[in-house]
Amino acid sequence: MGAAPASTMFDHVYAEPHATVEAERAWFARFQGSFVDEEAHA
Amino acid sequence: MTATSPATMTMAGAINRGLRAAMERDPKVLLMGEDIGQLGGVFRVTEGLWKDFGPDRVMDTPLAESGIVGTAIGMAMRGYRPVIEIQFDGFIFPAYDQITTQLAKMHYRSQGRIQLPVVIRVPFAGHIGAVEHHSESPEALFAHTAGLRVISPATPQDAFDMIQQAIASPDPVLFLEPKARYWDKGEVSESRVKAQLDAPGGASAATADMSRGRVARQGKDVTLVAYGPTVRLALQAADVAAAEGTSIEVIDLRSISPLDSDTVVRSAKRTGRVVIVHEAPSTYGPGAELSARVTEQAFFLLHAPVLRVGGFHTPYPGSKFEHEYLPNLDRVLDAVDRVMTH
Repeated sequence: MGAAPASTMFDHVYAEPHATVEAERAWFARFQGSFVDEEAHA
Repeated sequence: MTATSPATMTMAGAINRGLRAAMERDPKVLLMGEDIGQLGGVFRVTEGLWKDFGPDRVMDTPLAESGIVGTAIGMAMRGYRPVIEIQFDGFIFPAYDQITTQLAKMHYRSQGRIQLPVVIRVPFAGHIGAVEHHSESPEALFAHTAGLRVISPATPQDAFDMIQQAIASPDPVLFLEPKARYWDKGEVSESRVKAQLDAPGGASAATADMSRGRVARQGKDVTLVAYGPTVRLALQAADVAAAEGTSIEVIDLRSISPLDSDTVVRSAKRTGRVVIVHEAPSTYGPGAELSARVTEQAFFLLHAPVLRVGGFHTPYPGSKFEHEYLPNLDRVLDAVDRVMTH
């Protein structure tokens, strides 16, 4: 079983969506994605 | 009162009605706190509930806040929905460890297996001529803690709706009651929140609803942001400023965590000026967080720096200094003048 992705640290902070957590989750995904793009264009 | 005829009641009365409705809706809803049973609480918010629901559902506790919260956590783990009262804001600190270390984190710690639908009712803030422990605004300490929701109503209607929404939410909620506003009266309709909670997915809709701010008054020159006890002050300031030709938009945040910064940023982009008012000390307060978000998202549309009006970085002073310590009309209007003339 592989390690859980870092994005799972945003899971289960709340049982219902919380705007701050969702905003930080989205930012983190974009940030992580930007590294993927850089590698793809290298 | 019928579904089509709103009734006039105080905020304390509206919370009482909301608690009663929640207890009638769900037999797992229990109340606990110091003197909340036979006495009905020091502010009489739970008056009549012990008599009507009995001592198994409305429980007087020892003077032990940590024990009250710890007991509520255990009950929630066993399927109950405890609503506990911390008698005064400053009395919450003995329970701080239970709230921040256990209540806030159990859902995360259990990877979502355990939900703790605990509501902590806290009469908070000042303007009652009391001293420390009885007039404090500790919301930043709890808003800073992931896992907790922190909300505060400013009107009897919101008090009635939001206490039921908080109880229905699967997350732990600090429900901050502006005690100086307990006896303010307003119209309350019972129908909207009842329909929301009776509908499928009602708890999710309720949680989302209580997390949103509202525009309490529309305006075009300055965005004045408040919540709980300072909303009335903000509206008074808007009245005075209007007479002097300044149009103020008042936003009632309603929720401190999550913070509905979208509503504030939308307004800030139109007015270009923002003043945030709360009784909690300005230093590291909710206004600091909101100011940062507005600056991050609307920087090039701002005509002036975001200003805060709040309590000072002192312990809550004796009552003779309370008027100067708390935001008042002069301090709010001074901030409005400063953003208008920047």
